[in-house]
Amino acid sequence: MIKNFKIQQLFLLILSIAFGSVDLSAQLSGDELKEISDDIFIQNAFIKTAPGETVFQGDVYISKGVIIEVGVDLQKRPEAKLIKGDSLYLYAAFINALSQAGLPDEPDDARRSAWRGAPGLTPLNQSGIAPQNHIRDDFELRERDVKGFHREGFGLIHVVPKGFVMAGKGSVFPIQPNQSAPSDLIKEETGLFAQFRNMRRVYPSTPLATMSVWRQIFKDLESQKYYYEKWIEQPEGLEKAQISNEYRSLFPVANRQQSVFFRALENKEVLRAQRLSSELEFDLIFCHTTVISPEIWKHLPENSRFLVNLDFPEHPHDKVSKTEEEEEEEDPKDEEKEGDSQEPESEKTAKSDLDTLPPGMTNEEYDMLVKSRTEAYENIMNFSAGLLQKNSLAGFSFLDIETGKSLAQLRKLLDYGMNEDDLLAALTTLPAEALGLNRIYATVEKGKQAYLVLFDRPFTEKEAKVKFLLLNGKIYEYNNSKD
Amino acid sequence: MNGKEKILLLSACLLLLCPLMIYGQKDQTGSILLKGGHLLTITDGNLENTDLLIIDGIITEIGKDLQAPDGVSVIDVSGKYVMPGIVDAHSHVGLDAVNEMTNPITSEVKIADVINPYDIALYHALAGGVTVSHAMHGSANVIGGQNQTIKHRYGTHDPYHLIMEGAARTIKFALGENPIRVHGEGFSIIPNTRMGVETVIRQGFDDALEYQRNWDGYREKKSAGTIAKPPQYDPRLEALLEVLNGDILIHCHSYRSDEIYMLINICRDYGIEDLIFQHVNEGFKVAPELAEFGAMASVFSDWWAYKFEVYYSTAYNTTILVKNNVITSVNSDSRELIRHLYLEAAKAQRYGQLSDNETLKLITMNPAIQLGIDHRVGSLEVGKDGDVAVFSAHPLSIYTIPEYTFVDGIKYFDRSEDPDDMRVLTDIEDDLNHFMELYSGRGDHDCLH
Repeated sequence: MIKNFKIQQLFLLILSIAFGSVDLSAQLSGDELKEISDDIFIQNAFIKTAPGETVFQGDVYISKGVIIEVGVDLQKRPEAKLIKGDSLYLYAAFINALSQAGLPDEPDDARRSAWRGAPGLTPLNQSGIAPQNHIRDDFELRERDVKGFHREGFGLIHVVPKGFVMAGKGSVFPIQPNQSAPSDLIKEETGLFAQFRNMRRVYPSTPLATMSVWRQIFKDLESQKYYYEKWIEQPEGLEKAQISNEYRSLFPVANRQQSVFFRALENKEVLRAQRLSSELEFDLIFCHTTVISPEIWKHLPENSRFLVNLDFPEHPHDKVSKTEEEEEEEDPKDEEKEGDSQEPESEKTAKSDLDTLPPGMTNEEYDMLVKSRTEAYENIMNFSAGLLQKNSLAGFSFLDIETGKSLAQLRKLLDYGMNEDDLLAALTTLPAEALGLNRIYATVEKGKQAYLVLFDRPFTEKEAKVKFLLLNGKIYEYNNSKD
Repeated sequence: MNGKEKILLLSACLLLLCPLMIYGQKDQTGSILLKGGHLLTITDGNLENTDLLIIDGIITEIGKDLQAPDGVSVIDVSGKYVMPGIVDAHSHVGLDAVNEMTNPITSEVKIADVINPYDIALYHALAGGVTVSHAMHGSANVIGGQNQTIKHRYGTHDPYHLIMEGAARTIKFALGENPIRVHGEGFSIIPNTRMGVETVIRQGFDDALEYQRNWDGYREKKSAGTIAKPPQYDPRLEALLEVLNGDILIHCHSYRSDEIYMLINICRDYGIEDLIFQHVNEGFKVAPELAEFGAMASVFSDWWAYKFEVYYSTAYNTTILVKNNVITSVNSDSRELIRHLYLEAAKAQRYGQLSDNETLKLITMNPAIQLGIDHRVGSLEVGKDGDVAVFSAHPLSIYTIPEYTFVDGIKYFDRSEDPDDMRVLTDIEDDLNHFMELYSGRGDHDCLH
């Protein structure tokens, strides 16, 4: 009897574990994966289907990772996993449009080429010209970076190689732990990542030669490619066509099937990249640009596109006002004194910023400098809104942004001419278009891939937190009380 | 933001500083009437108490009692000296890079690709009356890159706005110690001697001619309908072909008479007719030979002994060349000397007693001829560009002070409106203590950066 009772207890215990109700939405920690479910039903959320388009108290039905239906009062599927979207804000998962996260660090002597022969005879791949480079085998995000991206709503990432003049091809990945199979790739080759960054003591070592080497490669490619295609078509009697890996990888760029993502920080680099694009007729997207002058626009075509550098500088004189306030708080006795000579405001301002003015600088000069630096800062901050008006904003570059700091930077732009829909576009539809992903990503629409994020409030609010992120058929829940 | 990004942020800030707002957003050309000055025309003598009218960037009238059309400003230059804007035939101001020193021949690179409109040295040059400079590749290579003549239209963010349209195309050659040191000693490749320098040039030209034969053969087959494998496209050899065809003028850094004569012989052998030597410290030894060939010379006034190949020099070099009918200019090759090029030229009066006009030609018409822009600048003539410099006294006087400088009729320098900080960009992350440090760059020989 005792033996049987114990066996019965054990059996009941097993049954209760197997069939016990577990509320997935409430019990699991934010870092664990939910069970894979083919069907998901998000109910009663505030849905931004696209920038400027909203469904209030809407539902989304997803099957096998594809959005099947979006609307109000949809029929709930009993077999689907339910996500209660009450008070939640649903967007398409954000796209990190330019990053090098998940790649190995460059060695300290990266700029030193392995080539030891005559600098002018350096093979292309040892001189920083490696368009055939891929990062798909090197890319792996650390778990904490995955969480960092998820907690800001990012579900896709465009990663470009580190390197030099022609660093290689970018790829788009889902942001998920344990990157494994190439089948996880969202897009294998987005385009060529290029920059005015040279290796030392090998050709090309300066922007002078960088410009020339582009011309040399592309103009040679034109004639070699023509012959190669003829040889493929009919090789009989023809000398064998030989195309290097570098040239072969540039075919889609030369054919404008892939863009060149050119890292161009300011006026001069933008113009140099544009000059190459105009001469050599490749499609160009400027990357990591901080700001350009209005004068420069006359050299740029109307459809120019920019991924703006999100690493905004600090306001040059914010600390002045803060210091004044702090001084007031720390030493209120100054206000109570009477008969003391009070310094002019400009003197106070100057001395808050520095212990003393630089030798020879007058207060008037200081005030002029403050004004010019402040206006320069505002030009940088207004750049994105200006690009949006010209239909030239393709998104943002996150190359210098620490994981988890992106939304704070983006929110600053709300004070500089951009609203929530503008930011949403810059995080979803605009980069999707630039990366060729807009057919199946970046909006919450029937037929699109279910790469979605749910915040507890509009993402532009400072305290907004991600509650759920859906991508690649999986649900990631973030229970913020445990964060 | 890392250190490099901070430096590059200097280039990302847009604000025109207050002084530049005095000029406003510069139009492409300007109009001005200069009244009552002593005009040093260079080609038509000196004209006392004469007016100069510039309309839309072009000198339209020279005479007395001229009236300014509506909307044209007038500046009274009575008692002052008005001369053509100074032309510096050897400079490296306004550039982001000077030497692509990784190969003895880099004829494919173009200085026009790396113009930096923010270089304060451009403004310093304007403050010394210099309106045009020949922005050159450095002297690290036997055959360097293609130079670019620029106008000092300072205050723009657009580097292409500095390019002088229609200027002749030129290329930098360099003989002697520099390429030998960089390549022979530095990389253990040819040239390691002056013999090697000559060989590099001849081999380069021969390779270019063979390249042309290969491409001619290919094109012949193609027009006959044959599918042929094309030769590799090589912009380096394309540029050398243009040198051989006379489409690009050689400006050759050189010092010693033997190598000067060597290059003249090479040019004879390959049918190159136009040749300008730079520095030419031993030019006085081969002045008749230079004149016979038709070669020109752009020299220092009195700079030598900074390396072995420039020990044998004389301050009379300029005068000896001029008197032997070599078209000669005086250049700076320095962001410091360019600020007082008029005094550098004046030294040729001290050493050689050149006349005023002969001396002024050293920094006006002669460099203009050497750069193929003498139809545009180099003298005060109706129809030429409104590039003008105004001095308080005769430009060759030790007491003179530059007062105004105009480029295309636009006033780019005015001594009475010359604030301390004339930078176009503001670095918003720079330490404020740097605000008062004026960047003047190196004062020494700038050819090898």
